[in-house]
Amino acid sequence: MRTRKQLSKHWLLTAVAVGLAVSSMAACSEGADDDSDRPTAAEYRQAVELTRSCVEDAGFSVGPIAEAPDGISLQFSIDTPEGAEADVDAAYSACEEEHLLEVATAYLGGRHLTGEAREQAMQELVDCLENAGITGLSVAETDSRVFVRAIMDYGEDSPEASAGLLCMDRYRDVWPPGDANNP
Amino acid sequence: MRSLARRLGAGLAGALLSLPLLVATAAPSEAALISGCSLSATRPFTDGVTTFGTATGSCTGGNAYMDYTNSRIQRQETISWSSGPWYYGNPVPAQVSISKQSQLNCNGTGTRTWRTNGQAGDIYGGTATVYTTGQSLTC
Repeated sequence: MRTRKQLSKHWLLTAVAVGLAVSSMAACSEGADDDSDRPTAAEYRQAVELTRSCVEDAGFSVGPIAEAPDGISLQFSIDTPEGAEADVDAAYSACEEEHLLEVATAYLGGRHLTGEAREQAMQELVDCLENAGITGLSVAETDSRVFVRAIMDYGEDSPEASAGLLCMDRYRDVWPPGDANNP
Repeated sequence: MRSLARRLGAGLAGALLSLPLLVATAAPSEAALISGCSLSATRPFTDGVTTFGTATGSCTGGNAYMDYTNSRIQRQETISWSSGPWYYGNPVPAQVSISKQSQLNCNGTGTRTWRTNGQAGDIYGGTATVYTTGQSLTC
């Protein structure tokens, strides 16, 4: 039978453990949402490699896997002989469906920064846009469509629009759940 | 075919600019982009009624020159992808980086998956295609 002293110690340890767990959960929610079901970067890369090999097996030469402008997704180019555009499109789409789409959606989708991490990234996004010549946007904005409209107002293929969309691509995860560009 | 006509026109300008380089490198036509050139694309964005994407062809190095970059938007359907029109970049031989934006009306489509498809050619006749990962967008 436990003494009062032992019971006190037991409850103290339990309280500390619960406190640490709550603190840990709070720390997680401060930076980003729950990633427990998300494939790892290695699993995502493997899916891209399988897709690349699949396109190669379909008879097309492929380039090396490279980081996309967003800094997180991966891409590879496919050599495209004259008149083979439709065949390349069909081959890539079939290979993507078989090896990549599900993993990529789970890996890249639903990334939402919160708290200080979001505030910092939002400031970096606005700075990036200002460096691209796009001014007047607020770090308090929560609707990405406002930013997209402002960027595209500079005109298709304008240097501002091209650079602005690159900024948006790098900071997609600043937009909250349910946002048009980051549901 | 438009790309052939473009290539003939652009090829003349490109050849004039780079004849010594062609002799030196003897890059095969209709092959991969020449070493030093690459193609990338941004996942699409929407303003709520239109979807926008960008493809960029870039080259670094002495003999590497991009000729043109095209892009288009694609939307995932039940068992395939439907494509918007190609947005063709004007051939500008000898430039080292060329971006081309494309767009497609998405008004009323709700939440769907979209991707950007890019195409680029170097002045030696190499052509490549790239696809972004699908991006969920709500229009």
